[in-house]
Amino acid sequence: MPTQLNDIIILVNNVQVAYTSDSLSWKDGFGEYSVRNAVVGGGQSEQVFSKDLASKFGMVKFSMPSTEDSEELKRAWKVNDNNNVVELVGPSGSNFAKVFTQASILSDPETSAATDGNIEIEFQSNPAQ
Amino acid sequence: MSQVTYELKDSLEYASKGEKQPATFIEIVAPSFKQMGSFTPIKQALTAALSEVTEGLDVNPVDDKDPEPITGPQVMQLMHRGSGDMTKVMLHAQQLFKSGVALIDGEEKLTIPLMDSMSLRDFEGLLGEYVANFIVPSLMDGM
Repeated sequence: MPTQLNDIIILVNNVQVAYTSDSLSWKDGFGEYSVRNAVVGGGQSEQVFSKDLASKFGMVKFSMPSTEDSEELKRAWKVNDNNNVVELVGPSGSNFAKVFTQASILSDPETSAATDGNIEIEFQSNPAQ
Repeated sequence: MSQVTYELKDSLEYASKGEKQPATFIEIVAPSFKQMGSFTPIKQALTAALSEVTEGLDVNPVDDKDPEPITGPQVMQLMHRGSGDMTKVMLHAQQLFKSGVALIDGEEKLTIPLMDSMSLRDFEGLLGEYVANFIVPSLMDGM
């Protein structure tokens, strides 16, 4: 029976991260594809397919509870520019694994100091390996 | 001796400077008081194993003025021959290494996920080197 991917380990720079349940999502970084038609005459057309290489970025997004440890990690990742590596590892017995190299946090992540506050993290990286 | 290098025998990849790369060695440094909680149980296990193995033997350390230093593999063999729980020793070693005394390729901290992906052969080898270089000499102090 297939298992829903909701118990994934996040490693950033070899360190395991505690994140908010159900907050993890990612994009492999295939980039945007587009198609258009070229007229060949006689009422006919043919499809022209192209890949937007400029949009080939991996993305990993998750949130962490606002704790001192999380805040420290956030700052360390941000100041590490694009020298971060994010790894997603499936639960024991699973073959699921993805590696996002040269990952950086482009935005200035916001920390919420509320009782159930979180820190929203979004890495942009090379496409997933 | 404040630092020693352990050459990895099996492959291990780690993240550094934004890329994944193969590790070749682990640099281990002498413990400080910060590591007392994980260092002491390992030292006790070694001492207990030594007592058990040498019990009944006529051993006098001053007989040999210039003894051959014990190697990491010999230390591990000795500790496994003792009746102590080696699983607990390994877990203490994991805590010890993650505290900052072990650096992959001399630059990145050895973390729990990295140790989880290390071969058992390398983990035992690393522990053996640590004990031989930093714990055995502390046992010899004053002998």
